[in-house]
Amino acid sequence: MTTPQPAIQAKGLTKTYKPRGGGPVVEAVKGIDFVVKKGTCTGLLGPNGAGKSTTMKMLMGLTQRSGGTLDIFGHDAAGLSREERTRIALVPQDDNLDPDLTVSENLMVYGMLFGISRAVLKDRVPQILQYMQLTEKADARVNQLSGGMKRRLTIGRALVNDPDLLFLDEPTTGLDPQARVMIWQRILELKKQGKTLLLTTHYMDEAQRLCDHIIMIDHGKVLDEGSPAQLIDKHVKKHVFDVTKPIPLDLPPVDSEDVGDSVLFYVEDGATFRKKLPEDATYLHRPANMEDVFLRLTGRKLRD
Amino acid sequence: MTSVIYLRDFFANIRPILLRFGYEYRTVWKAQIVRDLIDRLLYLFAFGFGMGALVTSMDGMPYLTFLVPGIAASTGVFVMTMAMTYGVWERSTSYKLYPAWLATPVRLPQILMAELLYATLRTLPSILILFLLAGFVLGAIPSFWGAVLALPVLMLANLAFGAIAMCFTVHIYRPLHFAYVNTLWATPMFLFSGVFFDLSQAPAPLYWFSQALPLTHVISLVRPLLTGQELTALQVVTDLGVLLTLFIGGYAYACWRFQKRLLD
Amino acid sequence: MPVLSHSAVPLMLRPALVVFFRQLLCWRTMWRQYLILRLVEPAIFFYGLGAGFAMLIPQIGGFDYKTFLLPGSIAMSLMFGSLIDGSYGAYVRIFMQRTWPSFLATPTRIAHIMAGEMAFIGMRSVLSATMLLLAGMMLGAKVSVLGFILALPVIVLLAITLMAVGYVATGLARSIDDFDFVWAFVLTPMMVFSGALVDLRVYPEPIQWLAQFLPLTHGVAAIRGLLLGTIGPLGVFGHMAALLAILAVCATLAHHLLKQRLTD
Repeated sequence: MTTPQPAIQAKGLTKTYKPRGGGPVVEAVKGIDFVVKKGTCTGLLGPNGAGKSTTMKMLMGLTQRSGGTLDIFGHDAAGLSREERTRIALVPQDDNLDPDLTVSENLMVYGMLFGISRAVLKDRVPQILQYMQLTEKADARVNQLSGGMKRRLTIGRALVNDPDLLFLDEPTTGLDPQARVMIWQRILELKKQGKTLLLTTHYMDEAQRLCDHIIMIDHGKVLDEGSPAQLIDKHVKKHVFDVTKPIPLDLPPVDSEDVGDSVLFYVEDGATFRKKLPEDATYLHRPANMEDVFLRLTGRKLRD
Repeated sequence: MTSVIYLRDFFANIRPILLRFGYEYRTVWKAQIVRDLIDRLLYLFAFGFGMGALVTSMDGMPYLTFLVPGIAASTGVFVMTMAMTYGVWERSTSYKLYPAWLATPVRLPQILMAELLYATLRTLPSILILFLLAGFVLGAIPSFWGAVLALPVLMLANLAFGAIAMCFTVHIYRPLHFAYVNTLWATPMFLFSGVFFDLSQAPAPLYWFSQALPLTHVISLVRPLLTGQELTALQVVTDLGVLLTLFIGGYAYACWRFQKRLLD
Repeated sequence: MPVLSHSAVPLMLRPALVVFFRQLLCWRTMWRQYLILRLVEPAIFFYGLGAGFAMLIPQIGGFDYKTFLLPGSIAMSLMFGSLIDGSYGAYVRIFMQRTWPSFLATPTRIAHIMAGEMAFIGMRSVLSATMLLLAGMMLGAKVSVLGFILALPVIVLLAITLMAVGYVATGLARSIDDFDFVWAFVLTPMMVFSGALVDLRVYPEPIQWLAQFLPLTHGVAAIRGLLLGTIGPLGVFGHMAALLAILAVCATLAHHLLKQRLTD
């Protein structure tokens, strides 16, 4: 049996560009390899300027790659046919909705851009509005919507062509907790329907909750990849103790990291380590998460 | 065969964008016509009556009659320039609609063609109102059928003005700079293309400068049509040829440069 | 800045002075574009219309057309500079870049900002008017330099008054697109009916009457009178009084509208 064809396959993918107005050539992506399997949700994580957005743009054909190969459904991403493009949709980082149109007109026009007939859209648009809880706003103008509503509409717009492959670029940035939970629910439902999702986010809890597979990139290179559990196991231990300074001298030699006012201790066995801590020590004990992995892999220095 | 499929796809993709403009137009059409037309009417009034009182006849006709074709032809210069500079920038860069559309099967040449077609169609009501007003109320259009024939000429001219304006847009990165297109391109063209006075009486440098401006070639067709002056076949072929070349050349250049700009 | 703590500047005026300096700082990067746009446009009008109509109209009120047109061109250039800065520019500073709200979080009040920006526009208008005067004289207009120096207070007053008109539009505008209406219903009508381009007396009587409500009409009349030496002190004071009245009404109204918009 041959392995099933992946949804996306990148090999040695690079992107360089000359900044407008001069300056040295910038290498945004420096040869990355990754695979996105069909029917999974894959997270592309990294700090600002790591190369996530550039990679997303190359996938969408919105910028040309400088080298390597990038295939979607087994075809070159830069030269997808009209039919192949109708199977893909994008939720961009900023809402680029059409401010001159109403909510339902936005969906209508976007559907027609995918070549869907008006008859089909007359049924589908109200369904999407209901699914994204926007039915009451059908005839409102885009600039009358709140930030959360705009985001829901942008996601709804990406569903208008019932895509097999969906790119979500920071889908919940700037939203309140209620809206985030609602959008997470929808994303998990889409995964259940068998769609392939590629997600970027700065929220590590979001990545941990939604993604089957995570690719960490920084400075245009892949740092590591794997399932959230695998990555946590590999780079930090199961438990984190955030111990406020001064640090007791007689602690066992475990994996630790000085973060200024306190030191983080990564340990496999939480109960044993706690017993070693003096009575009067100030500390916080929690399970390790993707945030720890992220900061360990990419460092704590500010990026922009 | 592939070219047939290409053409079919090309027009299939233009339709939804035209529909998008149609939705927009449905809510703004009244204000749009007022905006597109009001300054033309003011020029017509101010110069037709103001200067008309001092200049009794121009090129053998009443000054107002002389003025109407030039004013009609210049409508498109300003409407198309605004729409293809500031308007295109707004939709492509400010609202980020082009990236949203390009994430669908639609390609850039189709978007730009839809932009040109819609803006050109948008000038039609304004020009019709101007013709009706000048013809029936002011009695300043001697040839009715000439006016009918002038409409397709003006539409082609407006496509050309739009394509030229797009060529400026692809090189402009700050919206503030669009004002230059108006000041250094549209306004001089309006003043030096024989809208207000007969170019044949102008000094030689001014005459040759005017021949390099596309609006001159529109007026040299539209004025004889509206006033019933004689028009030679050579004149028609030359002027239409100039306009068609500018339209196709400008459109092709804008597509090529815009593609490069968006993909970087 | 040591200037600001100087005891000679009354406490009440200090915030306005800060705003003045802020505008001056911005202008350091903008002045090239300003000079090109605000000088080239009137110069094109001046040359385009002047050259054409000079052939047809030998004299207006005893002066050749170019000489007649230069004071009108200067006034028009002030109008474009001030009105656009008071409307479009102020809208950007208030609602888009949110510069005004950030000032209002300090002891600065709306009146201070308006005063500071108006003072800046007044200063800038002297500069651009002087440059246009020199350009016009080189292109063949015969006007009095002494008259121009006497006209400087009128020039500053006109610029400030038009800025106030622009502020009123900003107070009323709901989106930046609304300024198209300023262009259509304020700028172009003023240009056409103020007598800047043609003698006001060619128009029917009712229009001459209505024109008296346009600030530009008074500015043109006073500046032209002084540059051509056809007006007495009483006439100049009359026009300045009219401008002051319009300024008072518009500034009060604008202050009221902007206060509502910025504090609700």
